[in-house]
Amino acid sequence: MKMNLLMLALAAFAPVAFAEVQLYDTGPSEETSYVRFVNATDHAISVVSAKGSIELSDKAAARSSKFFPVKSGVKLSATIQSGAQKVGSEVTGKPWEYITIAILPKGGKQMTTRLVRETPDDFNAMRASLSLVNLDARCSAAMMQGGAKSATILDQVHPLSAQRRLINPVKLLASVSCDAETAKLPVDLGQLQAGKRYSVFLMTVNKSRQAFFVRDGN
Amino acid sequence: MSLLLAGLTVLVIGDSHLARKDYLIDTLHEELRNQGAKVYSYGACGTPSGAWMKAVQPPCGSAFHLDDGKTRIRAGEAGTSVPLPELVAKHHPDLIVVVNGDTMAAYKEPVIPKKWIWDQVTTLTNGIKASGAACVWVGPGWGAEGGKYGKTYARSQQMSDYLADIVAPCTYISTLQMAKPGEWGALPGDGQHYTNDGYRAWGSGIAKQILSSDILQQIKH
Repeated sequence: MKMNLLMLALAAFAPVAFAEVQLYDTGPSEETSYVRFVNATDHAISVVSAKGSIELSDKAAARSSKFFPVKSGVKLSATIQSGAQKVGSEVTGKPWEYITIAILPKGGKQMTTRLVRETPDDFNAMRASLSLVNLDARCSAAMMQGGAKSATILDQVHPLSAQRRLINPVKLLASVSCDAETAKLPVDLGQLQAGKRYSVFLMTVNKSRQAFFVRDGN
Repeated sequence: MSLLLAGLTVLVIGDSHLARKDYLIDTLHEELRNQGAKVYSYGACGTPSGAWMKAVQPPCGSAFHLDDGKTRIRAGEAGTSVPLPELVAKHHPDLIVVVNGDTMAAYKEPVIPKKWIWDQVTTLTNGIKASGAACVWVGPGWGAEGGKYGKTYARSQQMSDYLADIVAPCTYISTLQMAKPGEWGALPGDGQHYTNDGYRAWGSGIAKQILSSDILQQIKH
């Protein structure tokens, strides 16, 4: 009887009943980085890594690979090949970082690599994200304009860097120019889609400036 | 009874907030039924949004509540979730209500993992788009700072603001606007889950938001 009374007394002073939830993670189990390769030379190249190889041509959007997800904090090694020429590339990504490995000419048929890094935080399901990636070492300030009034979308994009902004998902005919030159390279991106991400590349190949776009897939 | 909700079929899916008796799986479920809807609610505890597109075994169990039936709680293998496309094929919802935010907010991490959250959310919103149903997405509440999940008001606000940007075509419902920080009783030492009174207030708040949003006007009766 004593025990029953004690239990009743405890029950009377018990806190409000609730069902406790077993602890769980509130975030990702591991962090990812993303790496893509862009061929800014005048010839096709192969990119070879421990996981396989890809071919990148010297024609417009086929110059760029998609973004490959890789474990952040782990060194990724790749070899870029073209004929007898080879150059190595190593990169370690920070969490959620997007890294563009640009393969550039280095006199004759030789090649070199440069990295363009960004950690985007502009994900948006109602707008499109558009970036300008300046891979032209001789263009100190690239600019992108677009729309009926040639409004400036991005400017002052320095060599081997990128800028990005959100725009409405419109049909976009853009133009890319360099250092306030009057020559503008047209880039027809067509109908942009909400929630999608795009990169416009500027590069000079055989003294000829060119611009093209890719949709940033991964 | 709401003329706009009466006769509609509503599918509610979510995380731990729908995975225990007296949580939203009961309070929101009954609020919507009281407005005349047929309601099917499913909770998969501890899962991010993208997990709803495949069958997973939730780390802390699951629950379901089918219209006028009783709430059933499942653990372990028996708690394996049913993917959204199968739920849609089974119940043919006019409206899908997603309650998910806390499981992706990474409260203990210094930086919110926006890319990962984006991938999780768009995996589910793409599935919802394919279903043809209208949808609303309910974000995290204030809870209480601290506790075993490391919840903070600042991260709750950041997560809610971010979800508002990325859940389209779903209409976003902010839980933060339904109460002041700390107003609903969060469980002591937990911070993220609520007392029964808290879940009653949340369920009622969500139902009110659904009834006052434009979304019901867009659904063909």
